[in-house]
Amino acid sequence: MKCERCGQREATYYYRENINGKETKAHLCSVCASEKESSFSLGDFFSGGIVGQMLSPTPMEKHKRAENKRCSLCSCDFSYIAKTGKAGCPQCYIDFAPLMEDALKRLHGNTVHKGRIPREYREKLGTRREQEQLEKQLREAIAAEEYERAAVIRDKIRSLNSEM
Amino acid sequence: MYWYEKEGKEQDIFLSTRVRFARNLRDYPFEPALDAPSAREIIERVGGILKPLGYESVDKERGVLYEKRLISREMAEKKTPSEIYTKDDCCIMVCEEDHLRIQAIKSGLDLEGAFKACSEAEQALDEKLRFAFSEELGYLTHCPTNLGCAMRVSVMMFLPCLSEAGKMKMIERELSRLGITVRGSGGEGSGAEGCLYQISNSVTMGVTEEEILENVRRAAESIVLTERELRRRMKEADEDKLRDRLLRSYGSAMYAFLTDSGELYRFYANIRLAAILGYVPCNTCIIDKMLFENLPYHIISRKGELSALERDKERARAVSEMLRKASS
Ligand SMILES: [Zn+2]
Ligand SMILES: [Zn+2]
Repeated sequence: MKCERCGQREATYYYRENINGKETKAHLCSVCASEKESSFSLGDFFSGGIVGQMLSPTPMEKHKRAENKRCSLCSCDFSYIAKTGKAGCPQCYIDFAPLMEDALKRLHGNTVHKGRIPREYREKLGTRREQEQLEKQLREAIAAEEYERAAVIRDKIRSLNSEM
Repeated sequence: MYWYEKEGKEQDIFLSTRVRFARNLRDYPFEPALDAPSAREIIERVGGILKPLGYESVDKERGVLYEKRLISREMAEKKTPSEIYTKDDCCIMVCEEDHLRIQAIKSGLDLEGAFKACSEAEQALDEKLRFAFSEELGYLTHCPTNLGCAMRVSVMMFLPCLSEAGKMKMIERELSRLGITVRGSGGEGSGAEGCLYQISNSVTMGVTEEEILENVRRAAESIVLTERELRRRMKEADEDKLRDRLLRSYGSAMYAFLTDSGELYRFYANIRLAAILGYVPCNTCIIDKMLFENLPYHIISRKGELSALERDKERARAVSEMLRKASS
């Protein structure tokens, strides 16, 4: 069965919690179980679900406001994402970003992407990083009096600048 | 040659190492919004990039590919347009759940090898395609659980002693806290038939690809230590009995007239362990082949539509033949 908190991964844990005499039971996946804190609430993935809505009014309000908004690429609305727990297209993540934020935090914790960057973005995001790298190499080459190498690096920086 | 026919490192425990990237094209929706013409367009574009690099599309029955662990069950059951391209150790599923599932599968334990092969394929596609990506969320995937690196690293492990000692639940719990999933890998259900387990990362966000690789490596190493220790102890405790039990299973497999899939998995686990301990003259590759190539779709693909009983007969015959050949 699927995890009752994120609704995505297989549930491998069975949780029981007693708060003020009210017992909560849940089948959870490993990630949700490990992230389970005092703020734990059950609920569907994106919408917060029935229990989730009772516990926190914010997702529901946000949800209401978004009812008419549609994705600019696949033209699905947010209720589709809330219902299926999946995006309609890549653009959904961008167009519905504020609505998905809480749910994505619940799913992945408070982190951002650290891995590789695709070519297109590498050119945009990576040029700055690359330039810093080259400038560092240039300083090292000059310090080591390796002028031939320094000239090569300087050319690289120049061509990088002209690209920008 | 399929991955399970090749020699690999630490095959007494590891059957395979797999690295998989999920990638999507920025301008296309996911299913079900992705219509058939758009899906075909993606398949064409991807084929146009891969074929000049030596990739071929695979037209083998999907059920057979699934049993060989080359494609997912979802891909095997897919009714809408989809395609599989392969070259060497790479197998790329197009229009599965994500537009692209780029995978590399190596035999035995080979995390670096699988990562390198998979990365090369991914880079080749990145050169020509516009991947859906966001600076914060990473690679945008159909299912939000895969966001970030959108990378799954998994090793398939043979763990007869841990599984017999009833330790797998405990390991599953311990590793899940480290962001590692352990699940039974054999058979139809989620059970661990054949004592086969899949160990993979569940975390994809906030980590680098190298860190994911390292996490899986560490998890696998800790399991290996315990399994080897248990094997040693089991042998020490009463080797004659162990040997008797495993050889009886070997004998049954050799002379059975009807063997169903469940029994095949049981034979498999016993004979594989017997081979590792040197009781029977087979290498593990042949035993793995005996398992995968006698699952239901393989038998149907070989012999046509057969009744369940006829399948069991064919399975028993084929198993016996393979074991005889291996020992002659
Ligand atoms: Zn969960
Ligand atoms: Zn969309």
